[in-house]
Amino acid sequence: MVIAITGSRKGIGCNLAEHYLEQGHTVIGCSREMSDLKTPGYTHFQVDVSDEQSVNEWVKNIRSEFKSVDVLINNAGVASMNHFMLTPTSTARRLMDINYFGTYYCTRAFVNLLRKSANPRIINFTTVAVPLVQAGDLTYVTAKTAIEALTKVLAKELAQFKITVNAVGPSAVDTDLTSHLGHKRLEALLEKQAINRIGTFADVSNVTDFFISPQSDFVTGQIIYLGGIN
Amino acid sequence: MKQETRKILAEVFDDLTSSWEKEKKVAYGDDLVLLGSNSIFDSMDLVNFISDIEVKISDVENKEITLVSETAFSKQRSPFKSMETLGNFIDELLAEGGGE
Repeated sequence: MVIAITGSRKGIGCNLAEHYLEQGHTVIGCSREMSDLKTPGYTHFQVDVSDEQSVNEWVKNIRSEFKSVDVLINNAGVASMNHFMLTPTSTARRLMDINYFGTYYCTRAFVNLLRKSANPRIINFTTVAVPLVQAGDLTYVTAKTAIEALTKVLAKELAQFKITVNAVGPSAVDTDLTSHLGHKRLEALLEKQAINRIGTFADVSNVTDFFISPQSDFVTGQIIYLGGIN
Repeated sequence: MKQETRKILAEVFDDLTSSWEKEKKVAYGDDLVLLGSNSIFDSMDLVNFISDIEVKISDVENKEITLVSETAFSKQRSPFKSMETLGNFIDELLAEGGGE
């Protein structure tokens, strides 16, 4: 399979890239900076997913080498945690631009490549922060909620192209995104889970494996949260 | 519109309508209406048609165009009014090198 992953330089995105490369798939990654990943089968592009032209240029470059893409994983995202009254509007827009519009632009740009696949898949990233609706998470939760709505509507709109669209909502996983949480807040988050442990990369790839499996062609518009949160 | 563009539109149209029932089928024509009450397409057909054209142009011309764009919506006369207007719009986009 040819798998495109956004935000593949570090964290979950990098781990997913390594996971699918180990399985023998071809992985096309992107991030705003260059990647250290040099594994055969991996190609990296510098792309700003919040910039529609940058995304379209990326897909144009992909198309020159690949006639189709089987999976798009819209992993690129940023978080912010602060009271609404202490959050600059520019931060709110930035989170919406990267998280929601990044997913939007990449999906639009990849549809025609995905249509050529026998088992086309889109996997979006949401977060357990959406159902938890905690104070301090406004900008992050609203952007990810928009992604969830996009996932459900696109599942219906892209079904005619046999593209399934699903989302995974990780709980706290040990990445840069959660590194600022602090021990107390992390403990409090884990307490809210049915299974009180920190998530692993394998927990996330377990879900993406399920979504992209050819046997999952009847699974679309679904959101799976980790850790037992719903 | 250019003859090459007309050929692309006709081929995509014929592919799309090949599964239509006999009573609904029409032959390709430059004057076929794409939008509005007299459109030959329902909304799903139009989505498929636009997407198929973009894919076909990518395959045949090795160029990327985006038909649904700010450029399209800023025009006084919609490029999607008819096959003729769409074909002319595609020629413009190809001459400019893209569709943003």
